[in-house]
Amino acid sequence: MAQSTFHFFISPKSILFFTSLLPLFLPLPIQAIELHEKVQIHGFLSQGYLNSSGNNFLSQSKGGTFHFNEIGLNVNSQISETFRLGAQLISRDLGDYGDNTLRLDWAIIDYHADDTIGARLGKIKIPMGFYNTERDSDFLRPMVFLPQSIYDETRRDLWLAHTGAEIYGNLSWEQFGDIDYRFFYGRIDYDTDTAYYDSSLQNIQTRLKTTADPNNLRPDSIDSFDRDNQYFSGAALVYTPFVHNVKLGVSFASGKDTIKSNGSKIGDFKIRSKMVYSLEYTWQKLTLRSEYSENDRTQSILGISALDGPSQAWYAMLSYSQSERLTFSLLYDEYYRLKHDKSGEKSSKKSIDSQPWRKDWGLGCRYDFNDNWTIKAEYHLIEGGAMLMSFFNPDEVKTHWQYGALKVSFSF
Amino acid sequence: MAPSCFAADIILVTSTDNPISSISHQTAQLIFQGKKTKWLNGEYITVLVNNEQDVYSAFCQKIIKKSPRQYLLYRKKMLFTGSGIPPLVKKNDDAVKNFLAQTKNGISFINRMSLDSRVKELKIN
Repeated sequence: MAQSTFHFFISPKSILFFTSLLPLFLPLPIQAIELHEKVQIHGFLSQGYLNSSGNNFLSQSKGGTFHFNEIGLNVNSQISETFRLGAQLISRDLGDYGDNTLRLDWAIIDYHADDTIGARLGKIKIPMGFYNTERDSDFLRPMVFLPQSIYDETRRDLWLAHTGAEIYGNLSWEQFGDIDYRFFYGRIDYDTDTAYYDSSLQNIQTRLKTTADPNNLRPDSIDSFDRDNQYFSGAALVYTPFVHNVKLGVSFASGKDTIKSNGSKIGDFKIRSKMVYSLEYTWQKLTLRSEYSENDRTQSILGISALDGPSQAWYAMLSYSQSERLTFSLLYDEYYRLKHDKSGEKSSKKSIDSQPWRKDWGLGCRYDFNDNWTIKAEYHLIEGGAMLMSFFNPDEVKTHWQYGALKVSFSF
Repeated sequence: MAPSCFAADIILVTSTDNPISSISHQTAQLIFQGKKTKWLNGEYITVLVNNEQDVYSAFCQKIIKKSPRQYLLYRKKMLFTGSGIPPLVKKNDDAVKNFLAQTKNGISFINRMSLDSRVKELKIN
């Protein structure tokens, strides 16, 4: 892959999709295309530039890369007062992954029996934290990247959507406020075109070579593996008091995967519990967003425990809206791979990816030209190399490093 | 965001055929956030957003208690995350009144100065 080149229009499979969107580039309000009062078509497109020094970040970013885009198109139809159908296609590219292959982002049948209870079936976005469901929609957030401690981009596909069902609803009380709830159960279909997959395969192969097999039961080599999700379930609650511009949330998930190679089980991964506590508070021109998360998980590969215990992550982001168009954001973000072994001393012997923590100061600026066009720029000063930095930097992970991103988005 | 001293004086409006003539502020917020979809009589509400700039801006500040851009992003989030369909958008007071004149269960907002016989005011109690 050549660096600093536009890959954007190269892929033949993307050309048809992009071309179909070109007539929509005129400034349009959110109603954009209403084929009928009950059918709406909307979409978005973003192109970014990513550059880093010290380490590569998510891609070969040290020389700068334009391999950083998303294109989405969605259709919604209110087929009756209680039934809605909706689906979104997405094509994205980030470094060596995505390659603008067209994928189904979400697709649902929504039965809205009443405001207090409804049900959705299909491929449904996972409501972990306030912002996981909006991962693909760059223009919805103040900075280019969501805080990585909780919304780790390398694990995007693990947490994006499940295929299953959810019960949802809103309970409201005069003067007290309202609570949105969601309970979900389903299975995740993991993509293999991800950094996480390639990194996991690398780790399995390294283990195969470097650890003993006294019973001689292991295969000689492993060229690929399947990660089968047995189940994924959870819940999310969001409380919005009346008037006070504050939103509080808590979300929970658990799940279990079996890792297989050539039909034989070679490992397990289990999320005992992942919790995210969320706060968003707006006061005049300032908005504070903060979330805290722990992910208690266990992983065993080739009979060896690779991971056992909770991670710890939190961030605080303060945004100042100078005007309706211009917003500045300041972020502090902190992640520990193991909450009870923050320095990584105890776990370094059994872990291959032993980078134990990461701390991130970020400064970002967002400018909205109009309702459709947005440009964002940001700079991050980072200490630590957790979250697959050793995969992107196999020779050496520098402890102190930086990255910057620039992104233009269009949505209608 | 503080209301401008030149902000339009907006009112909520509905069809003249709608038997409901007042709602609470919180109910109005829930309706325009897509969290309340039925009138008290059980009929489904059709929500319209008036995109006339000063009217939209005053509505966001007075009723939704968000800035116009925050409310736009709220509606976009609903759309792009699969959680719902945002309200229909009409370009000005006149388009809103024409639509509501033919839609018994509709609700929207207009500049008080443009209130006429096609719609009736929905008072906030």
